[in-house]
Amino acid sequence: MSKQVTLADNNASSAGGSARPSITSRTVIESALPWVAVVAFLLVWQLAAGSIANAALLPPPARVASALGEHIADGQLLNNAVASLGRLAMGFIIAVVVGAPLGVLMALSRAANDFIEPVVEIIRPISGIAWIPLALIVLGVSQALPVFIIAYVAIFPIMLNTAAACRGVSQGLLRAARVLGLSRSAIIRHVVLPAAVVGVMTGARLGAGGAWLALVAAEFIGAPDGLGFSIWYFAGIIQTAEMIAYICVTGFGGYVTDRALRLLQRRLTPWSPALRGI
Amino acid sequence: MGAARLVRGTTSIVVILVAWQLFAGRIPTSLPFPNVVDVAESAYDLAASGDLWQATVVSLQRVLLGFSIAVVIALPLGLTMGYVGLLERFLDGLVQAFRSIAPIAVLPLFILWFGQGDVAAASVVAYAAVFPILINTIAGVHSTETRLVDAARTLGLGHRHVLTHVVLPGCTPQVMTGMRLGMGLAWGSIIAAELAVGAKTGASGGIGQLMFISYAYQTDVSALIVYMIVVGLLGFGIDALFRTFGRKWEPQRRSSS
Repeated sequence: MSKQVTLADNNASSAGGSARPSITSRTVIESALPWVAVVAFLLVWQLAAGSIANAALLPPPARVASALGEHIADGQLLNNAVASLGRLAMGFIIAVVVGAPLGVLMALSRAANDFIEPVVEIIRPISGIAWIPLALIVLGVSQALPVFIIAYVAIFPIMLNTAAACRGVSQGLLRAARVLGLSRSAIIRHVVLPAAVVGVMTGARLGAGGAWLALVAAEFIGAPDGLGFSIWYFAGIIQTAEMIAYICVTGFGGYVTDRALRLLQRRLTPWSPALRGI
Repeated sequence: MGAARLVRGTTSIVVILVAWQLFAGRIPTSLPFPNVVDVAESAYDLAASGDLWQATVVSLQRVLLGFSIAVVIALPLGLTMGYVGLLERFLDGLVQAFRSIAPIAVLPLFILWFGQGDVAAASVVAYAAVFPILINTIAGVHSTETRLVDAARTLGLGHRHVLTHVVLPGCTPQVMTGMRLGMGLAWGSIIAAELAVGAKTGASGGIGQLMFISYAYQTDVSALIVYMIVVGLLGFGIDALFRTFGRKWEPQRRSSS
Protein backbone atom coordinates (compact mmCIF):
# COMPACT_ATOMS: atom_id res chain seq x y z
CA MET A 1 0.00 0.00 0.00
CA SER A 2 2.56 2.54 1.09
CA LYS A 3 4.91 1.24 -1.58
CA GLN A 4 2.39 2.20 -4.26
CA VAL A 5 2.28 5.73 -2.91
CA THR A 6 6.05 6.18 -2.78
CA LEU A 7 6.42 4.75 -6.26
CA ALA A 8 3.73 7.03 -7.61
CA ASP A 9 5.46 9.99 -5.98
CA ASN A 10 8.79 9.00 -7.44
CA ASN A 11 7.30 8.65 -10.87
CA ALA A 12 5.53 11.96 -10.74
CA SER A 13 8.62 13.81 -9.59
CA SER A 14 10.98 12.02 -11.93
CA ALA A 15 8.69 12.73 -14.86
CA GLY A 16 8.80 16.35 -13.80
CA GLY A 17 5.01 16.59 -13.92
CA SER A 18 3.86 19.80 -12.29
CA ALA A 19 0.16 18.97 -12.30
CA ARG A 20 -0.56 15.43 -11.23
CA PRO A 21 -2.82 13.71 -13.78
CA SER A 22 -6.15 12.40 -12.57
CA ILE A 23 -6.57 8.72 -11.74
CA THR A 24 -8.46 7.87 -14.93
CA SER A 25 -6.01 9.45 -17.34
CA ARG A 26 -3.23 7.80 -15.34
CA THR A 27 -4.66 4.34 -15.86
CA VAL A 28 -5.23 5.07 -19.56
CA ILE A 29 -1.60 6.13 -19.90
CA GLU A 30 -0.42 3.09 -17.96
CA SER A 31 -2.40 0.62 -20.03
CA ALA A 32 -1.15 2.25 -23.24
CA LEU A 33 2.49 2.17 -22.13
CA PRO A 34 3.39 -1.39 -23.21
CA TRP A 35 2.01 -0.66 -26.67
CA VAL A 36 4.10 2.50 -26.90
CA ALA A 37 7.17 0.32 -26.31
CA VAL A 38 6.09 -2.18 -28.95
CA VAL A 39 5.53 0.58 -31.49
CA ALA A 40 8.89 2.13 -30.57
CA PHE A 41 10.55 -1.26 -31.09
CA LEU A 42 8.96 -1.66 -34.53
CA LEU A 43 10.07 1.88 -35.42
CA VAL A 44 13.68 1.14 -34.42
CA TRP A 45 13.53 -2.10 -36.41
CA GLN A 46 12.20 -0.20 -39.45
CA LEU A 47 14.94 2.44 -39.20
CA ALA A 48 17.66 -0.20 -38.73
CA ALA A 49 16.39 -2.20 -41.70
CA GLY A 50 16.29 1.01 -43.77
CA SER A 51 19.88 1.90 -42.98
CA ILE A 52 21.18 -1.67 -43.50
CA ALA A 53 19.16 -1.94 -46.74
CA ASN A 54 19.77 -5.67 -47.02
CA ALA A 55 16.59 -7.72 -46.75
CA ALA A 56 18.59 -10.94 -46.39
CA LEU A 57 20.22 -9.61 -43.23
CA LEU A 58 17.35 -7.66 -41.70
CA PRO A 59 14.07 -7.30 -43.58
CA PRO A 60 11.75 -4.45 -42.51
CA PRO A 61 8.75 -5.35 -40.32
CA ALA A 62 6.31 -4.85 -43.20
CA ARG A 63 8.13 -7.47 -45.24
CA VAL A 64 7.90 -9.97 -42.37
CA ALA A 65 4.21 -9.15 -41.96
CA SER A 66 3.53 -9.78 -45.65
CA ALA A 67 5.49 -13.06 -45.53
CA LEU A 68 3.37 -14.03 -42.52
CA GLY A 69 0.22 -13.09 -44.43
CA GLU A 70 1.20 -15.16 -47.47
CA HIS A 71 1.93 -18.23 -45.39
CA ILE A 72 -1.33 -17.85 -43.50
CA ALA A 73 -3.23 -17.41 -46.77
CA ASP A 74 -1.85 -20.50 -48.53
CA GLY A 75 -2.35 -22.68 -45.46
CA GLN A 76 1.32 -23.65 -45.14
CA LEU A 77 1.65 -21.97 -41.77
CA LEU A 78 -1.45 -23.64 -40.41
CA ASN A 79 -0.17 -27.06 -41.48
CA ASN A 80 3.18 -26.50 -39.79
CA ALA A 81 1.59 -25.08 -36.63
CA VAL A 82 -0.82 -28.01 -36.43
CA ALA A 83 2.08 -30.46 -36.86
CA SER A 84 4.09 -28.80 -34.06
CA LEU A 85 1.16 -28.36 -31.67
CA GLY A 86 0.05 -31.93 -32.31
CA ARG A 87 3.51 -33.19 -31.29
CA LEU A 88 3.49 -30.94 -28.24
CA ALA A 89 0.05 -32.20 -27.18
CA MET A 90 0.99 -35.84 -27.84
CA GLY A 91 4.22 -35.49 -25.86
CA PHE A 92 2.38 -33.87 -22.94
CA ILE A 93 -0.32 -36.54 -22.94
CA ILE A 94 2.29 -39.28 -22.77
CA ALA A 95 4.12 -37.40 -20.02
CA VAL A 96 0.91 -37.11 -17.95
CA VAL A 97 -0.15 -40.71 -18.55
CA VAL A 98 3.24 -42.06 -17.48
CA GLY A 99 4.38 -39.36 -15.05
CA ALA A 100 1.26 -38.73 -12.97
CA PRO A 101 0.70 -42.36 -11.82
CA LEU A 102 4.42 -42.69 -11.03
CA GLY A 103 4.23 -39.48 -9.01
CA VAL A 104 1.21 -40.73 -7.05
CA LEU A 105 2.96 -44.05 -6.46
CA MET A 106 6.07 -42.25 -5.21
CA ALA A 107 3.95 -40.28 -2.74
CA LEU A 108 1.95 -43.27 -1.50
CA SER A 109 4.74 -45.79 -1.06
CA ARG A 110 8.09 -45.08 0.52
CA ALA A 111 9.54 -48.23 -1.06
CA ALA A 112 8.42 -47.18 -4.55
CA ASN A 113 9.90 -43.75 -3.96
CA ASP A 114 13.22 -45.25 -2.88
CA PHE A 115 13.35 -47.38 -6.02
CA ILE A 116 12.30 -44.67 -8.49
CA GLU A 117 13.89 -41.50 -7.13
CA PRO A 118 17.61 -42.33 -7.61
CA VAL A 119 16.99 -43.36 -11.22
CA VAL A 120 15.07 -40.15 -11.88
CA GLU A 121 17.78 -38.03 -10.26
CA ILE A 122 20.43 -39.70 -12.41
CA ILE A 123 18.58 -39.36 -15.73
CA ARG A 124 16.92 -35.98 -15.18
CA PRO A 125 20.03 -33.76 -15.52
CA ILE A 126 20.51 -35.11 -19.08
CA SER A 127 18.56 -32.46 -20.99
CA GLY A 128 15.99 -33.57 -23.54
CA ILE A 129 18.09 -31.96 -26.24
CA ALA A 130 21.01 -34.26 -25.47
CA TRP A 131 18.72 -37.19 -26.35
CA ILE A 132 18.11 -35.90 -29.88
CA PRO A 133 21.09 -37.60 -31.62
CA LEU A 134 20.41 -40.97 -29.96
CA ALA A 135 16.72 -40.63 -30.81
CA LEU A 136 17.73 -39.88 -34.40
CA ILE A 137 19.61 -43.18 -34.57
CA VAL A 138 16.75 -45.16 -33.04
CA LEU A 139 13.72 -43.36 -34.49
CA GLY A 140 15.13 -41.51 -37.51
CA VAL A 141 13.73 -38.22 -38.84
CA SER A 142 10.10 -38.76 -37.93
CA GLN A 143 6.93 -37.75 -36.13
CA ALA A 144 7.96 -39.88 -33.19
CA LEU A 145 11.24 -38.09 -32.47
CA PRO A 146 9.88 -34.70 -31.30
CA VAL A 147 7.08 -36.45 -29.42
CA PHE A 148 9.61 -38.59 -27.53
CA ILE A 149 11.78 -35.57 -26.68
CA ILE A 150 8.79 -33.51 -25.46
CA ALA A 151 7.45 -36.40 -23.38
CA TYR A 152 10.91 -36.83 -21.84
CA VAL A 153 11.22 -33.13 -21.02
CA ALA A 154 7.71 -32.83 -19.57
CA ILE A 155 7.62 -36.05 -17.58
CA PHE A 156 10.02 -34.99 -14.80
CA PRO A 157 8.32 -31.78 -13.64
CA ILE A 158 4.92 -33.52 -13.88
CA MET A 159 6.06 -36.57 -11.96
CA LEU A 160 7.94 -34.72 -9.23
CA ASN A 161 5.26 -32.05 -8.74
CA THR A 162 2.56 -34.71 -8.59
CA ALA A 163 4.54 -36.56 -5.91
CA ALA A 164 5.11 -33.33 -3.97
CA ALA A 165 1.45 -32.30 -4.22
CA CYS A 166 0.23 -35.71 -3.00
CA ARG A 167 2.73 -35.71 -0.13
CA GLY A 168 1.53 -32.23 0.76
CA VAL A 169 -2.04 -33.37 1.49
CA SER A 170 -2.67 -32.13 4.99
CA GLN A 171 -2.77 -34.67 7.82
CA GLY A 172 -5.95 -32.98 9.03
CA LEU A 173 -7.76 -33.81 5.81
CA LEU A 174 -6.57 -37.40 5.88
CA ARG A 175 -7.61 -37.81 9.52
CA ALA A 176 -11.00 -36.26 8.83
CA ALA A 177 -11.55 -38.64 5.92
CA ARG A 178 -10.59 -41.60 8.08
CA VAL A 179 -12.82 -40.48 10.95
CA LEU A 180 -15.71 -40.18 8.49
CA GLY A 181 -15.17 -43.84 7.68
CA LEU A 182 -13.68 -43.61 4.19
CA SER A 183 -11.81 -46.66 2.98
CA ARG A 184 -8.21 -46.38 1.80
CA SER A 185 -9.26 -46.50 -1.86
CA ALA A 186 -11.92 -43.85 -1.27
CA ILE A 187 -9.38 -41.62 0.45
CA ILE A 188 -7.00 -42.02 -2.50
CA ARG A 189 -9.79 -41.25 -4.95
CA HIS A 190 -11.37 -38.28 -3.19
CA VAL A 191 -8.48 -36.75 -1.24
CA VAL A 192 -5.16 -37.73 -2.81
CA LEU A 193 -6.08 -37.67 -6.51
CA PRO A 194 -7.48 -34.11 -6.50
CA ALA A 195 -4.15 -33.09 -4.97
CA ALA A 196 -2.39 -35.00 -7.74
CA VAL A 197 -4.20 -32.89 -10.36
CA VAL A 198 -2.74 -29.78 -8.73
CA GLY A 199 0.73 -31.28 -9.11
CA VAL A 200 0.14 -32.33 -12.71
CA MET A 201 -0.98 -28.82 -13.67
CA THR A 202 1.91 -27.13 -11.83
CA GLY A 203 4.36 -29.53 -13.47
CA ALA A 204 2.83 -29.05 -16.90
CA ARG A 205 3.17 -25.28 -16.65
CA LEU A 206 6.76 -25.54 -15.45
CA GLY A 207 7.58 -27.98 -18.23
CA ALA A 208 5.95 -26.00 -21.05
CA GLY A 209 8.88 -23.62 -21.66
CA GLY A 210 11.41 -26.43 -21.79
CA ALA A 211 9.07 -28.44 -24.00
CA TRP A 212 8.91 -25.61 -26.57
CA LEU A 213 12.69 -25.30 -26.52
CA ALA A 214 13.02 -29.05 -27.09
CA LEU A 215 10.31 -29.04 -29.75
CA VAL A 216 12.01 -26.37 -31.85
CA ALA A 217 15.45 -27.97 -31.43
CA ALA A 218 14.10 -31.42 -32.31
CA GLU A 219 12.31 -30.07 -35.37
CA PHE A 220 15.45 -28.27 -36.57
CA ILE A 221 17.20 -31.57 -37.07
CA GLY A 222 14.79 -34.41 -36.68
CA ALA A 223 11.37 -33.68 -38.20
CA PRO A 224 9.95 -33.56 -41.73
CA ASP A 225 7.79 -30.46 -41.04
CA GLY A 226 6.62 -28.13 -38.26
CA LEU A 227 7.49 -24.64 -37.00
CA GLY A 228 11.10 -25.45 -36.02
CA PHE A 229 11.64 -27.21 -39.34
CA SER A 230 10.30 -24.15 -41.21
CA ILE A 231 12.60 -21.73 -39.34
CA TRP A 232 15.60 -23.88 -40.21
CA TYR A 233 14.42 -24.40 -43.81
CA PHE A 234 13.95 -20.70 -44.56
CA ALA A 235 17.25 -19.89 -42.82
CA GLY A 236 18.92 -22.40 -45.14
CA ILE A 237 17.60 -20.71 -48.30
CA ILE A 238 18.20 -17.23 -46.79
CA GLN A 239 14.56 -16.12 -46.92
CA THR A 240 14.99 -14.10 -43.76
CA ALA A 241 11.51 -12.51 -43.75
CA GLU A 242 9.85 -15.95 -43.80
CA MET A 243 12.28 -17.18 -41.14
CA ILE A 244 11.47 -14.27 -38.78
CA ALA A 245 7.76 -14.76 -39.43
CA TYR A 246 8.06 -18.36 -38.26
CA ILE A 247 10.15 -17.30 -35.23
CA CYS A 248 7.29 -14.93 -34.29
CA VAL A 249 4.76 -17.73 -34.71
CA THR A 250 6.86 -19.90 -32.38
CA GLY A 251 6.78 -17.12 -29.79
CA PHE A 252 3.03 -16.76 -30.21
CA GLY A 253 2.68 -20.52 -29.76
CA GLY A 254 4.70 -20.38 -26.56
CA TYR A 255 2.55 -17.55 -25.26
CA VAL A 256 -0.71 -19.29 -26.14
CA THR A 257 0.47 -22.55 -24.53
CA ASP A 258 1.26 -20.75 -21.29
CA ARG A 259 -2.10 -18.94 -21.29
CA ALA A 260 -4.03 -22.11 -22.13
CA LEU A 261 -2.34 -24.10 -19.36
CA ARG A 262 -2.97 -21.27 -16.89
CA LEU A 263 -6.65 -21.22 -17.90
CA LEU A 264 -6.89 -25.00 -17.58
CA GLN A 265 -5.19 -24.79 -14.20
CA ARG A 266 -7.72 -22.22 -13.01
CA ARG A 267 -10.54 -24.40 -14.32
CA LEU A 268 -9.38 -27.72 -12.90
CA THR A 269 -7.71 -26.59 -9.69
CA PRO A 270 -8.88 -23.11 -8.69
CA TRP A 271 -7.49 -23.75 -5.19
CA SER A 272 -3.97 -24.42 -6.47
CA PRO A 273 -1.25 -22.59 -4.49
CA ALA A 274 0.54 -22.00 -7.83
CA LEU A 275 -2.26 -19.57 -8.79
CA ARG A 276 -1.70 -17.31 -5.80
CA GLY A 277 -0.38 -13.90 -6.65
CA ILE A 278 -1.21 -14.12 -10.35
CA MET B 1 15.73 -46.26 7.40
CA GLY B 2 18.59 -44.69 5.51
CA ALA B 3 20.07 -48.12 4.85
CA ALA B 4 16.85 -49.44 3.30
CA ARG B 5 16.75 -46.40 1.08
CA LEU B 6 20.31 -46.90 -0.08
CA VAL B 7 19.76 -50.60 -0.75
CA ARG B 8 16.59 -49.96 -2.76
CA GLY B 9 18.17 -47.17 -4.79
CA THR B 10 21.25 -49.24 -5.58
CA THR B 11 19.06 -52.24 -6.44
CA SER B 12 17.04 -50.35 -9.03
CA ILE B 13 20.14 -48.88 -10.67
CA VAL B 14 21.87 -52.28 -10.77
CA VAL B 15 18.72 -53.92 -12.16
CA ILE B 16 18.57 -51.35 -14.96
CA LEU B 17 22.25 -51.81 -15.84
CA VAL B 18 21.95 -55.63 -15.82
CA ALA B 19 18.78 -55.48 -17.94
CA TRP B 20 20.58 -53.19 -20.42
CA GLN B 21 23.56 -55.57 -20.57
CA LEU B 22 21.34 -58.63 -21.13
CA PHE B 23 19.18 -56.84 -23.69
CA ALA B 24 22.24 -55.63 -25.61
CA GLY B 25 23.51 -59.21 -25.73
CA ARG B 26 20.38 -60.33 -27.58
CA ILE B 27 20.55 -57.58 -30.22
CA PRO B 28 22.37 -58.71 -33.40
CA THR B 29 25.87 -57.23 -33.57
CA SER B 30 25.09 -55.66 -36.95
CA LEU B 31 23.00 -53.04 -35.13
CA PRO B 32 24.85 -50.24 -33.30
CA PHE B 33 23.52 -51.11 -29.85
CA PRO B 34 26.30 -51.00 -27.23
CA ASN B 35 26.26 -52.77 -23.88
CA VAL B 36 27.39 -51.33 -20.56
CA VAL B 37 30.99 -52.50 -21.00
CA ASP B 38 31.24 -50.91 -24.47
CA VAL B 39 30.13 -47.57 -23.03
CA ALA B 40 32.59 -47.81 -20.16
CA GLU B 41 35.45 -48.59 -22.56
CA SER B 42 34.39 -45.74 -24.82
CA ALA B 43 34.33 -43.39 -21.81
CA TYR B 44 37.88 -44.43 -20.90
CA ASP B 45 39.16 -43.92 -24.46
CA LEU B 46 37.48 -40.53 -24.86
CA ALA B 47 38.76 -39.33 -21.50
CA ALA B 48 42.28 -40.44 -22.43
CA SER B 49 42.28 -38.84 -25.90
CA GLY B 50 41.65 -35.30 -24.63
CA ASP B 51 39.14 -34.34 -27.37
CA LEU B 52 36.30 -34.64 -24.92
CA TRP B 53 37.95 -32.28 -22.40
CA GLN B 54 38.67 -29.74 -25.10
CA ALA B 55 35.08 -29.81 -26.37
CA THR B 56 33.78 -29.55 -22.80
CA VAL B 57 35.91 -26.49 -22.16
CA VAL B 58 34.67 -24.88 -25.40
CA SER B 59 31.02 -25.46 -24.42
CA LEU B 60 31.55 -24.23 -20.86
CA GLN B 61 33.32 -21.09 -22.07
CA ARG B 62 30.42 -20.27 -24.37
CA VAL B 63 27.92 -20.80 -21.57
CA LEU B 64 29.96 -18.64 -19.21
CA LEU B 65 30.29 -15.84 -21.77
CA GLY B 66 26.60 -15.87 -22.70
CA PHE B 67 25.52 -16.16 -19.08
CA SER B 68 27.71 -13.22 -18.04
CA ILE B 69 26.17 -11.09 -20.80
CA ALA B 70 22.72 -12.09 -19.56
CA VAL B 71 23.55 -11.11 -15.96
CA VAL B 72 25.04 -7.78 -17.03
CA ILE B 73 21.84 -6.95 -18.94
CA ALA B 74 19.17 -8.52 -16.73
CA LEU B 75 20.34 -7.55 -13.25
CA PRO B 76 20.47 -3.73 -13.60
CA LEU B 77 17.42 -3.75 -15.88
CA GLY B 78 15.45 -5.95 -13.49
CA LEU B 79 16.34 -3.79 -10.48
CA THR B 80 15.30 -0.61 -12.28
CA MET B 81 12.13 -2.15 -13.70
CA GLY B 82 11.12 -3.47 -10.29
CA TYR B 83 11.80 -0.10 -8.64
CA VAL B 84 10.25 2.18 -11.26
CA GLY B 85 6.71 0.95 -11.86
CA LEU B 86 6.18 2.95 -15.04
CA LEU B 87 9.28 1.46 -16.67
CA GLU B 88 8.02 -2.02 -15.84
CA ARG B 89 4.67 -1.26 -17.44
CA PHE B 90 6.46 0.25 -20.43
CA LEU B 91 8.66 -2.77 -21.15
CA ASP B 92 6.15 -5.43 -20.08
CA GLY B 93 4.76 -6.10 -23.57
CA LEU B 94 8.18 -6.48 -25.16
CA VAL B 95 9.46 -8.72 -22.38
CA GLN B 96 6.39 -10.98 -22.60
CA ALA B 97 6.70 -11.18 -26.39
CA PHE B 98 10.40 -12.04 -26.47
CA ARG B 99 10.19 -14.33 -23.47
CA SER B 100 7.68 -16.54 -25.28
CA ILE B 101 10.11 -17.26 -28.12
CA ALA B 102 12.09 -20.44 -27.45
CA PRO B 103 15.78 -19.36 -27.30
CA ILE B 104 16.85 -21.91 -29.86
CA ALA B 105 14.37 -20.47 -32.39
CA VAL B 106 16.47 -17.30 -32.74
CA LEU B 107 19.67 -19.28 -33.42
CA PRO B 108 19.41 -19.02 -37.25
CA LEU B 109 19.03 -15.26 -36.96
CA PHE B 110 22.12 -15.00 -34.74
CA ILE B 111 24.06 -17.25 -37.15
CA LEU B 112 23.02 -14.95 -39.99
CA TRP B 113 24.25 -11.89 -38.10
CA PHE B 114 27.31 -13.20 -36.24
CA GLY B 115 28.43 -16.26 -38.23
CA GLN B 116 28.62 -19.82 -36.94
CA GLY B 117 31.17 -19.26 -34.19
CA ASP B 118 31.30 -18.48 -30.50
CA VAL B 119 29.37 -15.20 -30.77
CA ALA B 120 26.19 -16.79 -32.15
CA ALA B 121 26.41 -19.60 -29.58
CA ALA B 122 26.95 -17.17 -26.69
CA SER B 123 24.09 -14.97 -27.95
CA VAL B 124 21.66 -17.89 -27.81
CA VAL B 125 22.85 -18.65 -24.27
CA ALA B 126 22.40 -15.01 -23.28
CA TYR B 127 18.91 -14.98 -24.78
CA ALA B 128 18.00 -18.14 -22.87
CA ALA B 129 19.32 -16.91 -19.53
CA VAL B 130 18.24 -13.26 -19.62
CA PHE B 131 14.50 -13.72 -19.02
CA PRO B 132 14.52 -15.96 -15.94
CA ILE B 133 17.04 -13.60 -14.30
CA LEU B 134 15.10 -10.49 -15.31
CA ILE B 135 11.71 -11.76 -14.16
CA ASN B 136 12.98 -13.15 -10.86
CA THR B 137 14.90 -9.95 -10.13
CA ILE B 138 11.76 -7.87 -10.71
CA ALA B 139 9.80 -10.20 -8.41
CA GLY B 140 12.60 -9.90 -5.86
CA VAL B 141 12.45 -6.11 -5.89
CA HIS B 142 8.67 -6.25 -5.44
CA SER B 143 9.11 -8.43 -2.36
CA THR B 144 11.57 -6.05 -0.67
CA GLU B 145 10.24 -4.57 2.53
CA THR B 146 8.68 -1.20 1.82
CA ARG B 147 9.60 -0.05 5.33
CA LEU B 148 13.29 -0.49 4.59
CA VAL B 149 13.09 1.50 1.37
CA ASP B 150 11.09 4.24 3.09
CA ALA B 151 13.55 4.35 5.97
CA ALA B 152 16.52 4.63 3.64
CA ARG B 153 14.78 7.37 1.66
CA THR B 154 13.89 9.24 4.84
CA LEU B 155 17.51 9.04 5.96
CA GLY B 156 18.40 10.85 2.75
CA LEU B 157 19.69 8.06 0.50
CA GLY B 158 19.40 8.68 -3.23
CA HIS B 159 17.53 6.24 -5.46
CA ARG B 160 20.74 4.75 -6.79
CA HIS B 161 22.06 3.99 -3.32
CA VAL B 162 18.71 2.61 -2.22
CA LEU B 163 18.91 0.21 -5.17
CA THR B 164 22.45 -0.97 -4.51
CA HIS B 165 22.39 -0.95 -0.69
CA VAL B 166 18.82 -1.85 0.24
CA VAL B 167 16.94 -3.42 -2.65
CA LEU B 168 19.75 -5.51 -4.16
CA PRO B 169 20.79 -7.27 -0.92
CA GLY B 170 17.11 -7.89 -0.13
CA CYS B 171 16.38 -9.64 -3.40
CA THR B 172 19.58 -11.72 -3.64
CA PRO B 173 17.77 -15.04 -3.00
CA GLN B 174 15.36 -14.44 -5.88
CA VAL B 175 18.19 -13.28 -8.14
CA MET B 176 19.99 -16.53 -7.35
CA THR B 177 16.85 -18.51 -8.20
CA GLY B 178 16.61 -16.67 -11.51
CA MET B 179 20.27 -17.34 -12.25
CA ARG B 180 19.84 -21.02 -11.44
CA LEU B 181 16.84 -21.34 -13.77
CA GLY B 182 18.62 -19.29 -16.43
CA MET B 183 21.73 -21.44 -16.21
CA GLY B 184 19.64 -24.60 -16.66
CA LEU B 185 18.10 -23.20 -19.84
CA ALA B 186 21.49 -21.90 -21.00
CA TRP B 187 23.09 -25.33 -20.68
CA GLY B 188 20.24 -26.91 -22.66
CA SER B 189 20.45 -24.21 -25.32
CA ILE B 190 24.20 -24.48 -25.89
CA ILE B 191 23.90 -28.20 -26.61
CA ALA B 192 21.01 -27.53 -28.99
CA ALA B 193 22.91 -24.72 -30.71
CA GLU B 194 26.03 -26.82 -31.17
CA LEU B 195 23.98 -29.75 -32.43
CA ALA B 196 22.22 -27.57 -34.97
CA VAL B 197 25.40 -25.79 -36.07
CA GLY B 198 27.10 -29.16 -36.31
CA ALA B 199 24.32 -30.14 -38.64
CA LYS B 200 25.35 -27.35 -41.00
CA THR B 201 29.14 -27.36 -41.08
CA GLY B 202 32.06 -29.06 -39.40
CA ALA B 203 33.63 -26.18 -37.48
CA SER B 204 33.70 -24.61 -34.02
CA GLY B 205 33.53 -27.63 -31.67
CA GLY B 206 31.70 -28.10 -28.38
CA ILE B 207 30.09 -31.20 -26.87
CA GLY B 208 26.95 -30.71 -28.95
CA GLN B 209 29.00 -30.90 -32.11
CA LEU B 210 30.86 -34.01 -30.95
CA MET B 211 27.43 -35.55 -30.39
CA PHE B 212 26.38 -34.60 -33.89
CA ILE B 213 29.55 -36.08 -35.39
CA SER B 214 29.17 -39.37 -33.58
CA TYR B 215 25.56 -39.53 -34.74
CA ALA B 216 25.92 -38.38 -38.34
CA TYR B 217 29.34 -39.57 -39.48
CA GLN B 218 30.34 -42.40 -37.18
CA THR B 219 27.11 -43.85 -35.76
CA ASP B 220 29.13 -44.40 -32.59
CA VAL B 221 26.38 -44.95 -30.03
CA SER B 222 28.80 -45.74 -27.18
CA ALA B 223 30.48 -42.35 -27.57
CA LEU B 224 27.07 -40.70 -27.88
CA ILE B 225 25.96 -42.17 -24.56
CA VAL B 226 29.22 -41.04 -22.94
CA TYR B 227 28.57 -37.49 -24.20
CA MET B 228 25.03 -37.62 -22.83
CA ILE B 229 26.37 -38.68 -19.44
CA VAL B 230 28.91 -35.83 -19.53
CA VAL B 231 26.14 -33.35 -20.40
CA GLY B 232 24.08 -34.70 -17.50
CA LEU B 233 26.97 -34.61 -15.02
CA LEU B 234 27.92 -31.05 -15.93
CA GLY B 235 24.28 -29.93 -15.78
CA PHE B 236 23.99 -31.51 -12.35
CA GLY B 237 27.28 -29.99 -11.17
CA ILE B 238 26.39 -26.48 -12.32
CA ASP B 239 22.98 -26.71 -10.68
CA ALA B 240 24.52 -27.98 -7.43
CA LEU B 241 26.91 -25.03 -7.47
CA PHE B 242 24.04 -22.56 -7.75
CA ARG B 243 22.04 -24.33 -5.06
CA THR B 244 25.00 -24.12 -2.66
CA PHE B 245 25.49 -20.43 -3.37
CA GLY B 246 21.76 -19.83 -3.07
CA ARG B 247 21.71 -21.41 0.37
CA LYS B 248 24.70 -19.33 1.40
CA TRP B 249 22.82 -16.11 0.67
CA GLU B 250 19.54 -17.27 2.12
CA PRO B 251 20.19 -16.00 5.71
CA GLN B 252 20.54 -12.44 4.41
CA ARG B 253 16.84 -12.37 3.77
CA ARG B 254 16.06 -13.33 7.35
CA SER B 255 18.38 -10.79 8.90
CA SER B 256 16.98 -8.00 6.73
CA SER B 257 13.34 -8.53 7.66
